[in-house]
Amino acid sequence: MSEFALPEEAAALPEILPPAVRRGRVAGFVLRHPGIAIGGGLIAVMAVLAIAAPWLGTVDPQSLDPANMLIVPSAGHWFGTDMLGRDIYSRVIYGTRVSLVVGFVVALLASVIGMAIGLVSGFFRALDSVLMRIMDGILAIPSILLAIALMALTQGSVGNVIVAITISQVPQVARLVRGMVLGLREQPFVEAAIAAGTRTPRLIWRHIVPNTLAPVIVQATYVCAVAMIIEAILDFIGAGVPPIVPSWGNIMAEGRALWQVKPFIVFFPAFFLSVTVLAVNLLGDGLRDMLDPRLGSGK
Amino acid sequence: MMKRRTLLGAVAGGAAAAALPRPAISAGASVLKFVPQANLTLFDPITTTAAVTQNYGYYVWDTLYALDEHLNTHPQMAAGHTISDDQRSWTITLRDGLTFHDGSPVRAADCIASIRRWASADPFGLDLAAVVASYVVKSDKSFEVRLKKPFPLLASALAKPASNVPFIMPEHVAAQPASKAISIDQVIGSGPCRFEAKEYVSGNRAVFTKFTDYVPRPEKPSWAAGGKVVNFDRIEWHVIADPGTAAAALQSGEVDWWELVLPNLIPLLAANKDVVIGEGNPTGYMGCLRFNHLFPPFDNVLIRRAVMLSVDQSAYMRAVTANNPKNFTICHSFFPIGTTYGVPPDPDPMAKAPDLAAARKLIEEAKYGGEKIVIINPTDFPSIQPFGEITYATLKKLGLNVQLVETDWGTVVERRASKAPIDQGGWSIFHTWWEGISLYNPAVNPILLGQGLEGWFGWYKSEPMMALNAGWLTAPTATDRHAIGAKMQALGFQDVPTVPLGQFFIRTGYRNTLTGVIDGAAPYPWNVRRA
Amino acid sequence: MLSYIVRRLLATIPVMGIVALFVFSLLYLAPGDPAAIIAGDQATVEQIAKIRASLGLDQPFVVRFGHWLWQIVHGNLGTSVFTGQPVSTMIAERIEPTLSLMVLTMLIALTLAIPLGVIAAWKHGTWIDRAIMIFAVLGFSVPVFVVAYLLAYVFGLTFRLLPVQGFTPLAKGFWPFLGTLVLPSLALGAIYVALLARITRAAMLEVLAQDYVRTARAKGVGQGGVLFVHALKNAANPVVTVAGLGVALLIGGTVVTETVFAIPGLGTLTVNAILERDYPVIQGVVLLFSFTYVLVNLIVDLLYSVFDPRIRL
Repeated sequence: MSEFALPEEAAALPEILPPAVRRGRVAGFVLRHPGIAIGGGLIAVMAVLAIAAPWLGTVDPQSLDPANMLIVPSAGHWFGTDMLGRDIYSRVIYGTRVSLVVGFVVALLASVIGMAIGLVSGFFRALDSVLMRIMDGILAIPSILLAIALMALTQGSVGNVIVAITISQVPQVARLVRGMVLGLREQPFVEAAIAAGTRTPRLIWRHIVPNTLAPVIVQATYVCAVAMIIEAILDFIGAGVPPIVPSWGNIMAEGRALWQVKPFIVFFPAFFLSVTVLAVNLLGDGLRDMLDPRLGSGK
Repeated sequence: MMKRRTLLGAVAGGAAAAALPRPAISAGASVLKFVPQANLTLFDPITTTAAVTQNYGYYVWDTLYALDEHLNTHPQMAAGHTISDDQRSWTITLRDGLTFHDGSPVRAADCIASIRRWASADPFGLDLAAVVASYVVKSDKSFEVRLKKPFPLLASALAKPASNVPFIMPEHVAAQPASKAISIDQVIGSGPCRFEAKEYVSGNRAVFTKFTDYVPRPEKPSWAAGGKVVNFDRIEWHVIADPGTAAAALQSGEVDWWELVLPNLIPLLAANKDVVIGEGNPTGYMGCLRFNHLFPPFDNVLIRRAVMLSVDQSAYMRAVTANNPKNFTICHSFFPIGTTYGVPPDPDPMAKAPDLAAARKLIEEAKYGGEKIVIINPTDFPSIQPFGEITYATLKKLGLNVQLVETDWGTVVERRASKAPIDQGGWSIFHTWWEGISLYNPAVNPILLGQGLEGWFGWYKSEPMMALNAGWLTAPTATDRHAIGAKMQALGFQDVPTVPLGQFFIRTGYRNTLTGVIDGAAPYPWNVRRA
Repeated sequence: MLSYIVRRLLATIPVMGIVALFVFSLLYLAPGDPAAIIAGDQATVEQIAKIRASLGLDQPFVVRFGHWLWQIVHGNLGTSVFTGQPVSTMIAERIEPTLSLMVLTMLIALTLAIPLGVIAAWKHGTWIDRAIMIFAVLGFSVPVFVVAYLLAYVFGLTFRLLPVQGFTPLAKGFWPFLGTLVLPSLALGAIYVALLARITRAAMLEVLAQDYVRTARAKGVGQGGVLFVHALKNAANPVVTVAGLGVALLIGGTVVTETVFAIPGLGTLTVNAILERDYPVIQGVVLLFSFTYVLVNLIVDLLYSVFDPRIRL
């Protein structure tokens, strides 16, 4: 599982598809940025599954039917049923919601909070050492462990999972932004702005933030992928969202004891989870290519 | 009773992990490899009621009296006793040759200290303590229990089969209060197996060796009564948290005996000709739904009855037995079916359950005002977690304002001890299961007794129930006791302190090279041998 | 250099202090009560309170934290609430499996990832490059327990080549020891290989574009020489950084891997301690993990100067 997002030096994916003749603007975009196209497309599909879950041939993912437990995949239950007789297909489709919400909300929160801390740290030396020591402290605790501990301490809910994972991811973004701020401060245009008497908030807002945005967005996609994986692991360990909630991690946790005899219970959610994380990573790599040409595919 | 935590990662250690460095075993030494239901982390069977600690207790210590498979009491370490004519004095004499594992003899003073300590913590023990005037050492091998009033069940109390079992420990160990657990270095046994503290690794293994100076009784063994003859030089507990892994280890012969087989894996093991699926504990496990009686709506007996009427026991039981009706019994009783008091009242108050229409009528009659109901439910106990989900679904159908709060077990056990109002960190319902044997008579039955705030979580208070119990404790004959037990059962179904959810059985699995496994109230280490 | 190391080690003290305070506060604020777990199902509220008192859990925060800190300063991590064993003993018993797992994973990852990254950079733009990078992004996306189950299913259950669970200590023989570790290490290593291969490729690409590499080529240094001696040495820094950062990833990964493969290591010890609220054990293990992390970062910084003499410490 990803403990942290790729650092700055991380390589971009090469273009997976061979160069081809431009055919219109959309096709051209797809060919120039296959990562964004494939990743974005897959995420869009997942988002549609999440939103349209009730209309995709699903039943109530929480409805128990102990008389029909552990049915193998069949026409009645496409992905089979679990130990309590719940329909796995329905639970997997509804599970998309949990993963996507956790991934996106954690990415957003960690980016915003991390950016705020990074900016403050980079600009106010007095606070810098204190903030960065705290960030180091959090960073020094493996984020899975930190999240498990935070979850053991709170009531299992999607909200708490988001908070727990966000706390473990903020330091990454904060350090990234702080590093960029320190670099930007030495740039002539910033020095010029300071010399011209630009007030600090305006300086940050007009000159610093826009220049840190692109890397933060790229970083956010990795945070998103990491968050989805940690969420699944938390559920898998029994420290995540309540088992009654259909989530991919919960389904795998339920199927775990039986994976020798009924491997399908683990297989379907594992497949969906892997594809979604893959999509987010592809998107992230694609965005990196597009937003930061210096790190492009090296042609 | 601590629950078996099949949660991933709760404990790890595998069959292959058996192979950590250990003293060389002399050639020809016989070893039994056993997979216990959970990691052994607590060494004091008086401080905790954890079942795994009770089971280890049976290896390490012996008791003065013991129950046989027909629930009759027999002397075990005791040679016998005499009762004075006024029934207020019991003189118990010890057998010859009893020795602690440190080589010192078992004396009357050790027994007294052990009984005192047990009687300060155990519910049955507290009943005894309430009538004891004094303990008097008569000689090294006999002592007298002087009573304020007759207590005909004294020997039965000292034969209590399940947590807390009144094990006999040395006086210097038993001197500390029951709330202070004895440490791993203080485990000095009186039973057939010696605990090898140096080889213990939490989450991985516990090792026992045959205590050669133990003198078994001459009788044939029956449960914890009779001759406890251990036929192995060494018994190793291999903790395997993952049931799938434990099954694999048993199939491949890496271990000999798996205490509790996950119900879903029984077909897999039954198909293996080298593995025998044994009956396991014949009194099984009793699921129960417990109300908080302090706050609305479950301070209202009508609502409690409504919930009882809406309960479909087979749904609960199917969820924890892999949908196998062979592995559960409908149990409209607060005592396990198959034991003395486990007889449903006539007419059976739950005969029509689930009867949602009747339940709704009762709720209407009770003028339920939408008070919030909080079900606290553990996420990490697969054998309890479904209970909460099923109750949640049922109460929703009844139109009750119910919330399911799922946390890990560590949080559930803290929260259920809270007497705060529901919206201030309190609770309305939790579920658990009991080993059937630990509910085998009224005095030990917390799901029925009504001590109020001093009693079990939920704090059901009923003076009539306690009066019946007092009468049961002093009733002179078994027939009298039987009648009182039936009255308590009937009162229970009127007051509904708890809703029984059924009785289920967890099977045991072992290699077909083993014979003499006792299907008892605990996985006893005696009598079993390699064919 | 020595004064640098001393300074760095001193600088870890505040970080460790923050970790300690953070974890302790977290546990203090947490719901869950080891006394209630110890007492078991039949206990009454009063019995739980007595056990709590005997464990000192009824003391105020400052007293408990002060007591614990006092112990730590004296090199004592305390004793487990449950087994009563010293935490240091419990940790010591668990180090071998976890350390073996991490070392083997690291070895597998480095021997696979660096050649893969170098080849991808060398064959840049070809299908080989693409294939390697597709593998890399896949390895980064599939959760470790999914990889673990796949491996166990294929190699353990289908072909019965390797044990699917457990751990055999080195003292019982090298091959059995290795046998139990191969699948867990591969599972844990997948993400690590993916990460390192990507970093190596990127770093190599930058270096290969530099003038001195062209010069070396022009001087007739062979392809392998260029790649593995000149270029790789100069590409080492980012690779080392990421390898070091990856230790945190490994520590987290062991928690899951150990659980799936039933390895009695530190990860399982920690998860169990968290669920049982065995406070001293949780604190002890988290301190150990954090200290390891800090130490590895220091080693990474020291390696910089080894690979790039221009960097002065």
